[in-house]
Amino acid sequence: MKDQEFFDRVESVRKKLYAIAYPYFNSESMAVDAVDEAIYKGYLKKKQLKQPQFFETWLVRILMNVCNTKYKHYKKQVGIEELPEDASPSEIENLPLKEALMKLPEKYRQVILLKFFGGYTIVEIAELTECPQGTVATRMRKALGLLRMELEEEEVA
Amino acid sequence: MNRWDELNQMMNEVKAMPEMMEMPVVTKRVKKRVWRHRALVSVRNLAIACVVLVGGLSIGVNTSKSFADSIKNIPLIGRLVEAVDFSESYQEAINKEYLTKIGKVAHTKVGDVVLSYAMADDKNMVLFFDGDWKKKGYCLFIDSLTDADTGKEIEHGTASADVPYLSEKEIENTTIQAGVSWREYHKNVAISFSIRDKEAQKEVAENVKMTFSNRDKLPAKEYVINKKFEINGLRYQINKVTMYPLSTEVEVKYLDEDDLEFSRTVDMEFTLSDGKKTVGKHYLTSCAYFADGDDKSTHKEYLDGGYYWSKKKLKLGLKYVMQLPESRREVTLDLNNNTLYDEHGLLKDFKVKHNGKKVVITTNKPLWDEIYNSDPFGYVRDAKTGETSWITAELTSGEIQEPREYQYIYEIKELSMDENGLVHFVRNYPEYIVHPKWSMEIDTQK
Repeated sequence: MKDQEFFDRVESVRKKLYAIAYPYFNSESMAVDAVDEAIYKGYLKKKQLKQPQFFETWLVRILMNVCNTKYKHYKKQVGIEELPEDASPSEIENLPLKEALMKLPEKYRQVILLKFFGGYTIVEIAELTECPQGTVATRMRKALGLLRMELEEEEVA
Repeated sequence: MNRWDELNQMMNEVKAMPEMMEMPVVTKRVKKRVWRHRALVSVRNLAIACVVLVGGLSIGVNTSKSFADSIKNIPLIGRLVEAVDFSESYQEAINKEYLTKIGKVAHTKVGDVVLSYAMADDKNMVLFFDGDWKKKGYCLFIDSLTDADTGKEIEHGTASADVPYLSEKEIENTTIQAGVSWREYHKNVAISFSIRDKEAQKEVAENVKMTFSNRDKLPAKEYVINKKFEINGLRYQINKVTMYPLSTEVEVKYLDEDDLEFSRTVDMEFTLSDGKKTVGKHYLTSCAYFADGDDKSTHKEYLDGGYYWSKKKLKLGLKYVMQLPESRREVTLDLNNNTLYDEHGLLKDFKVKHNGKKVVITTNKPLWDEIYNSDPFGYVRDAKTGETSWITAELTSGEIQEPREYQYIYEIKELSMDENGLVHFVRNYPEYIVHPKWSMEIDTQK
């Protein structure tokens, strides 16, 4: 993939990348930093992408990895404690959504961000996270349950 | 406000993209970073190629079978100084015991590695390793550095540390030096390194980790200069000189370069002299381009000597300035008749051939190669959009005889060719190399 094609493709997904990265840190500069890092890593590895039609999936995966790595350092710095997977909604119900999202277990937070900020369907999230659709749907239900957000069954599926 | 309202509000917030996410800005930032990455890779490759790069040092420390027995095996500072050909500033720093004794041992598959000493300032760190090396020809690569206090990865540039070639002697243990450039001082550092067998081209030990502490940071000394000068009609201003214990930073503003896509000043190099000895560019820090800020007209040059070097008055000199007028920047490669030309006509210093997927551009070793180690053309410009993209050439040099030929081989697939078979290059190398007789005195006692 030539440079120009790479950056053209980046341009078409950059809003989505920023939207996914932002809620990790609730910080404009940190989100920009994470997106930069993902594009930079993608650029260096662009020769490894054999099928350009999967560019978006590939770059979003890189971004998720970057965000997760950065978030691990970030939560240590600011003292965020993630909830265990079997936590109850009462543990975060009084927190603003921004903070509650940050406390969600990583795999729950991931599906929420991809669905609502990335605009992906469950099928697409399953591809992005390389998980079965059923697993993604279960995580989505649990995440929404923890946040006390109800969705119609067909919306989850 | 319920959870859905909060979610909608958050989604609206992220719809407003910051200016930093505008595509030209993103592209520029990422390209700059890629460029820096490639510069660092070049440094690393160069380090592999040269047995002696950072310091070129070799000392037999002792004949102990294992360094892990005790840190008493760490060479004495005196022996380090005697045996190692450091830069002037480093030698003085070592003489004055600016070094911190570390003595941390890591057990690896190829023997124990001891981090004996470390010394650092705001821009550099030098690490001295001793190893019970069982085989000659290993390199030590620093893979990552982390600030042990914050847990954050430290952005850095490194040159590998090579075990020197010691075929004539049965020396089992050697001290090697690894240079690191970084943006700011870190006292407590976690390091991860690997050891590579150069001949076999593979890692023989990976993910070797240790944590150590540098001494407390010493303050920098800043001298505000605000001195203007002009070369070939281009104006410059030296804003300030900052001296650290081991290195010196010169901040220069290019006063006539603000609105250009590519600066007309290709490079400049300063020197620092105490009257007897002169030091020049700090190899690693300058290569890493760590100081580049958002303001592209302000440049920081790094010199290989800090205030530990000399307490005398020092003379800051300008060794050379390399310039390239805008009219010489755009070069066309015509593959129909294998020629290169710019606005002023044919570039006669080059011969061009193209062979299958390769374009071979040959030149005799030109003056600019002496001091500016770079491909002659670094970008191609798309004829329709005007956008530039990065290109690199494979360099092969001829026999060591004069005139020496250099061949730069570009891959056709990387070159954007227009419908007429023309490739529009952006030139890297300078047209003018000026050696101005300019200097000024810096009183380091102030």
